[in-house]
Amino acid sequence: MMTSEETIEWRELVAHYLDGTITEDGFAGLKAALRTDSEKRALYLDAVKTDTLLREIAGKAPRARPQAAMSSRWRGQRGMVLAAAACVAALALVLSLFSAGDAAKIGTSRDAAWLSQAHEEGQVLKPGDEVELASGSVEILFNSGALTRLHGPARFEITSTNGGFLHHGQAWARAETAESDGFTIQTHSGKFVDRGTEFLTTASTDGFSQMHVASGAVDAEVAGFALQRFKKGSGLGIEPGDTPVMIRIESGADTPEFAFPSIPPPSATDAADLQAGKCTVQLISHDHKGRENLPHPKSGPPERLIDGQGQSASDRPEESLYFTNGADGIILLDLGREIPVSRIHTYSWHLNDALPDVRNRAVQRYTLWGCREAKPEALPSTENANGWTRIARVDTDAFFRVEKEPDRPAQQACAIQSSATAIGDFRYLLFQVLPTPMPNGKLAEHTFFGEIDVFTPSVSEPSKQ
Amino acid sequence: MWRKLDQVELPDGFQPWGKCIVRFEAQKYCRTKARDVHVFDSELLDLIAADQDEQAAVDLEREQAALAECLETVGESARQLVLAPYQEYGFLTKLAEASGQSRNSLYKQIRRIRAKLELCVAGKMATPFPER
Repeated sequence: MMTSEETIEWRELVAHYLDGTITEDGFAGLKAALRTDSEKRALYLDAVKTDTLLREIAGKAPRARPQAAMSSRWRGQRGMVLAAAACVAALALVLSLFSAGDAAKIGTSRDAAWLSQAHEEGQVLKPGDEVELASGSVEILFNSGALTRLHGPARFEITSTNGGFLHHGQAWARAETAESDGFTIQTHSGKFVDRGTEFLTTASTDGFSQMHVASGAVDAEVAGFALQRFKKGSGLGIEPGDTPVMIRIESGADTPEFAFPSIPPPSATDAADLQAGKCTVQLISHDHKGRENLPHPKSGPPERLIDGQGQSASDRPEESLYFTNGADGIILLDLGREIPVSRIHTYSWHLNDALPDVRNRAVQRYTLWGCREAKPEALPSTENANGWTRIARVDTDAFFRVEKEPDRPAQQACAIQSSATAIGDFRYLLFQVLPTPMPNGKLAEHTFFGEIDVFTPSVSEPSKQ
Repeated sequence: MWRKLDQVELPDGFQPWGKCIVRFEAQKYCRTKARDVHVFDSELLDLIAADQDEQAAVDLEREQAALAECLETVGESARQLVLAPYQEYGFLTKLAEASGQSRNSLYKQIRRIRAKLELCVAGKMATPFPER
């Protein structure tokens, strides 16, 4: 199966072919891949189909035509004149909509190591211009008044006077002027539209992107999802793919009711619940690097994760599942049979009773994988999925911009959902849980997980409180 | 292919007919592009056509309607830009010259809009995800 990065590269190559801009080497590579790779052929066919449908739609657009009543003598000449006029009119229309004047300029930079082209403060940027940084940072001042600070390594492309495309890297943005309302940062997996605010966007080279709102609100447009508005302190992640997966993370009210802004509280009627009797939890004693790890001696049993409720208070190790300090922890949910999975929720809660600023076991950091009936022998890793399907990567500290303990919400929920009816058909869900790095050489510590819920399209979710 | 739909009178024969027309259009496309020598040989076309035949039948009318809907969501400038390559020959070059941008820059923007449209269409073709 192709990785997201390979998919993006392949789509690019096919686009070059369809555009007529492919090189000799590129064409040779295209043909070779089409001969041997059915997955690439399927993507190629999709692209051809889109191209053909667009051509069809373009052909239906109204065009200026010579008058039917014109005499045959004049029809030819008038036809040529009108056709030329139509072409000029179309060009003027596109140009009027697609202004290519100056769009932005380079602001101050700090320790900037440029890639491909160096930029100087005050340099004018037009749509299509790119800024590439190996390290350091640079500010880009848009004509609309919006400001973006790019942190390297990063590649950013100016697309208009009020927005850009973040290929990879990190871009902080502030849009406070009336003209900059609607300032947009786009990535390979989503589009984030400012509504008077500050927000941070990160994009990986494999297409994964995240957005966090520092103040105000941001509208997120992700293919297949309804437009969603995110307010201060919230954010989302997007796993790319044919069916993008959205990761929404929220902080709770720190009560046993587990009340969150939009994510419902733990459910006792989901597909991964003890009451239904079909789901079991197993803990795998060694991670993919062979490091041993099992639950902490004070942890509750694994079944705590599927008992339909979260913890009763913020510092309840016996009501949580958490691993021994150090290595990764691995949780394997066996849903009992292969089922379509539409949503997955995870919940955590930790605030030290004696030291309220200590919430290091509240963060959720894991990679979620799934597989169908046939469970692969080997565990997945970053380098090799080993037959597993990666569903989502979660790091709630990255969402909440946690720099020190008190910044971290004590009660957290994460909702993973797809734009399609189901994320996929799975029997096994595997959570590779990362511990939280600790200062002063202490071993990394694990999260107090209270509940994991799995929903199918046929199982209704509990209503939000 | 869709321009020829009205020539078909036997609805059950759509798949083989579709394969035939796709091949025909592909060859015609190759002929018109012969000047740039980037054409597939018949063996490769057969392979691609076989894949096309194996794919589950798709609801093309629905897909075209979905694409039209998605085009409405990308904004007028993006819509005009993504349709620009299908205007008269040389239109995109003129647009590039007139706008002070390179053709490559325009193509990059067009590719991104296309990718977004493909995702949008895929989302619409899937059963809508229930909103809460």
